Amino acid sequence: MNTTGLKIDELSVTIGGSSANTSVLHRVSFTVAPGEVVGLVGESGGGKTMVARAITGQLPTTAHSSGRITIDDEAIAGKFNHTHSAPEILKAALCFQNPLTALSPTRQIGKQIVDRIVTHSGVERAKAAEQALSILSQMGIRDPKRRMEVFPHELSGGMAQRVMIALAIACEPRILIADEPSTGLDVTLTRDIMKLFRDIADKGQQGVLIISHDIAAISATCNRLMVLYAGSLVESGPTDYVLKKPAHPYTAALIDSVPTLYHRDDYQGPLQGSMPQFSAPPVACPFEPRCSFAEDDCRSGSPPTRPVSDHWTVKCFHSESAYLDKYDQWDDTAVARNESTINTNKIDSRTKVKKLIELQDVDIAYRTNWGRSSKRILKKISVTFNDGESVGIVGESGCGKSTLARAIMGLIPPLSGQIRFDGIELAKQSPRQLRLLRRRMQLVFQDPLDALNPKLRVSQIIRDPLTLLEMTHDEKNTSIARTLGRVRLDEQFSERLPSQLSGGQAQRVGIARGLVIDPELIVFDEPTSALDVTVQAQILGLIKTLIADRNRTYIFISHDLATIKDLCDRVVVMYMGRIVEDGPIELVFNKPSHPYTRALLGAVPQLREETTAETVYLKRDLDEAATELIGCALAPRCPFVEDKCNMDQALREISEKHSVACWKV
Amino acid sequence: MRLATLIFRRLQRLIPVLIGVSVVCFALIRVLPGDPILLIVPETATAEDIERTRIRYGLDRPIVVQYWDYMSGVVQGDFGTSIQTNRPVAEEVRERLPRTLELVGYGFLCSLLLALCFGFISAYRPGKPIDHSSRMLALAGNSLPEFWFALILILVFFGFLGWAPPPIGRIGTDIDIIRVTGFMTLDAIITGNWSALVSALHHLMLPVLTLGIVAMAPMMRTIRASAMEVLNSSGYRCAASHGLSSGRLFRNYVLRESLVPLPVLGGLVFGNLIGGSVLVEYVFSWQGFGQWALRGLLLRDYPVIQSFVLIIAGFYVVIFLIADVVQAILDPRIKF
Repeated sequence: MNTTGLKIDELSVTIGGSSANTSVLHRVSFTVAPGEVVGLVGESGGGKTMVARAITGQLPTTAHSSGRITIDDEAIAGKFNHTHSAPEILKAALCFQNPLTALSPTRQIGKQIVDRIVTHSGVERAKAAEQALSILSQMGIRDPKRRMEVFPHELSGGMAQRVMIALAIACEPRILIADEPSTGLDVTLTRDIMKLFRDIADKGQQGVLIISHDIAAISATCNRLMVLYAGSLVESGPTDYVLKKPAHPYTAALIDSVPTLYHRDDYQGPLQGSMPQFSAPPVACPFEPRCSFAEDDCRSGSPPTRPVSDHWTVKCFHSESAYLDKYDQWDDTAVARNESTINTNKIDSRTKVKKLIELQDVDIAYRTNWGRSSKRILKKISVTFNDGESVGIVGESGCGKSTLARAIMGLIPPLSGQIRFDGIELAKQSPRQLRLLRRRMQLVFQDPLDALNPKLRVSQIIRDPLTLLEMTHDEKNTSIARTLGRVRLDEQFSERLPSQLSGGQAQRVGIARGLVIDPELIVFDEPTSALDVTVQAQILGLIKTLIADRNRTYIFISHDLATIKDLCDRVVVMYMGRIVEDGPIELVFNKPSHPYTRALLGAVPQLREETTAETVYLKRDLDEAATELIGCALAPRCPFVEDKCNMDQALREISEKHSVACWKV
Repeated sequence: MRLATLIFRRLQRLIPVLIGVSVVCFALIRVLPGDPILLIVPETATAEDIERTRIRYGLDRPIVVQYWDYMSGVVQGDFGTSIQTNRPVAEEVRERLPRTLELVGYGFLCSLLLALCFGFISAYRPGKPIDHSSRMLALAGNSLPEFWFALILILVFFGFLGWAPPPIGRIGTDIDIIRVTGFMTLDAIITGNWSALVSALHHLMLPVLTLGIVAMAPMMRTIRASAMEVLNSSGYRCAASHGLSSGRLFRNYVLRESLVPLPVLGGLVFGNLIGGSVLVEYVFSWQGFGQWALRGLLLRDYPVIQSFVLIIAGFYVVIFLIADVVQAILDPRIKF
């Protein structure tokens, strides 16, 4: 068999009917050889998914495509065909984004895998079931026999992703394509899933194409990286080269936008603006409006794709200019310098310490329909947030950090224990009193577009919390205008509807809404996780300037340690409804004590490998059964587990202001 | 296990529902104007005669006593005596109910079958002629009065073509059949009376078709919408992109998921048919349950009306139980 792998030649795709065309891909060419893992990165709207759909023959019916796609020298038809029936060899199989919804909900996963094996290798169902078992265990799924009988909604996110890969593998494709495989997964799980792709490429001699917006998550796995911007492939080259010395300004900006634990000294700040949409193939460089190196030739003509060195190409006129040089100065000393600065500027030696929020032995459980309480989300949480402090709460998804935020806001009553805001116990307040208290605290939501009323204009949205205060109309208007300025939104935005805002602008409005009544507490619930990296960097920059105002308390919830590092004084690490570590940020980051914190820190994807803490690798996936265990919740996954771990691990102070819930520390 | 809890919980609800329905119904019909006694006594009756008759039927006693009396009878299977015919209501129900259930059962199956065929065909070919014409058919069936539709069918298939038997009764007058269950087709099969089976099915043809087309529209629309949703879901697109054959895709990835919203609606449609088939029964001289209840209502025959309402309520509860169980079987995500 011919094994040249995937070859794409001058692929262009235009979508739309007669009136509104959108040109999504412009003459994209690349290859994926067997045994190779290639990453296709870029922000949403860049056309990444369209590449996957073109390769798997799933372009929408309104799409027009030109160019040539071949796999092992056989051409692929671009359009989706409803009626193909004969068992044929599938050349490219796609792992869909969001596997929990992309697995058919009414069919057991074993049967779904068997369906694919039967179709593509023509064996009997019984024999196919055996093969499915071995594929599942190869994917790292424990107890595959039991899992075969399970329906997709019973799977955890990581498990569903493994099943999705198993489905694609069962088709025995020449090329495996994964669309955003890390979305919704925690750092530890992402690393495991990426390792699976590496194994598949190494063993099966299949080519793997990983499509992702998260350059940090996938870079360790990929042989090569390709960067897509507004439908053009702007850079393509070996991962190490592209990361260390990005040749295209956009690649550099993309890499700089990734929140990392250690920033370079010459960090230029976030990239401004957003990605353009084209109705016709662009005549100029698509990145030109946002590029700080742009010159006249960038505006007048589209740059050619030129080689930088072997297997490394870039689509830029000026990639060798002064721009590249500054990366040569990048070296390891930057890390050391960075660390020394941490210790000096963070600790604020203010004398008054007022407790703003106090939680004491708080248990929270959501009730089921039938009145029986289900499993507890938060277990014996005791934590204090002082006035003027900015605290990060981190943990994997599902660990209860959002529930904690809602409890602090008085939105969920605790099952037992007390939550006090400025000495007032929330559970004992009447709904009216609670409403008055909420003048003093605000929540900024995760998905900005979801959290804004689509029918209200921006000025009305920001005005809304002001109804809590007694103010004249003019006073309200001036404070709205002032707040818009603080989140760096132009006056012209005040009459727009949320649908006319980009994700970043919408989140600015969300922050403005939280800021406008000047509350004593602002809780940010994952404020950047729904945004693209360059926009994310802009919003983080904005929040950072807000936090410099020390007159209020900030709680910052995130699953990503790197994002909170620059923002917070203190960090609270949660695992399965419990606080496992709580301490000043520099202590926790430099000397993490709890095994879970160490694992979390070690799993933060590092673009340039500078992890200092000794990395801890946790065993296996999160198991649902562990939630009701007595003793340390981490015990089933902890590499240092001993008999004594069966006892309940209370949070105890190991040094001043630093407490850990592990007896071994 | 999951299903067992569901069934148990629902059956617990059956008793309070029936008690509530009986109380409301018992009170309401006595508020209605019209006196059943005046309708049965001869015109020459004196006030004394009327009072005597009233006492004979127990209608002079306080309403609470009447209710208690009636309900304690119902518990033992005694639904009282019809004021009009002077026959036990239970006996009349036994005679009438199977007639309607047979008609409605086949009618429902017919509409289900039509809805499934047209619904899926439309979903697979949205915007194509077959989609438009089946939706037109459903709309017509939904909006035309059923008795009118039945008359048209009689005119065409009995009057012009002569394919259908005359619309009088459930079976040919020349055919003898032994009554076992009261369900004509079932009795014919049990007794091995094949000529009776053919005749019964022949007589069922037009009324079943009428009900089928009349009841089809909502179910067809639901199937079409939910199948289209499934066909656009990423679950289906994933399976399709992995190269599965269209037959396998339909059987394993479309059919079951599309049917999930159907049982609840189907239960509603079936319940409606039982109570609402009366016009069709009239047109085909079916002498069914609905016809019987309508006459009871017009003549203020209290025991008849009460029993009808109670039985229909019981049917609804059972039908919705079945609908929920079917839905729970179809969709593993449903929790109770």
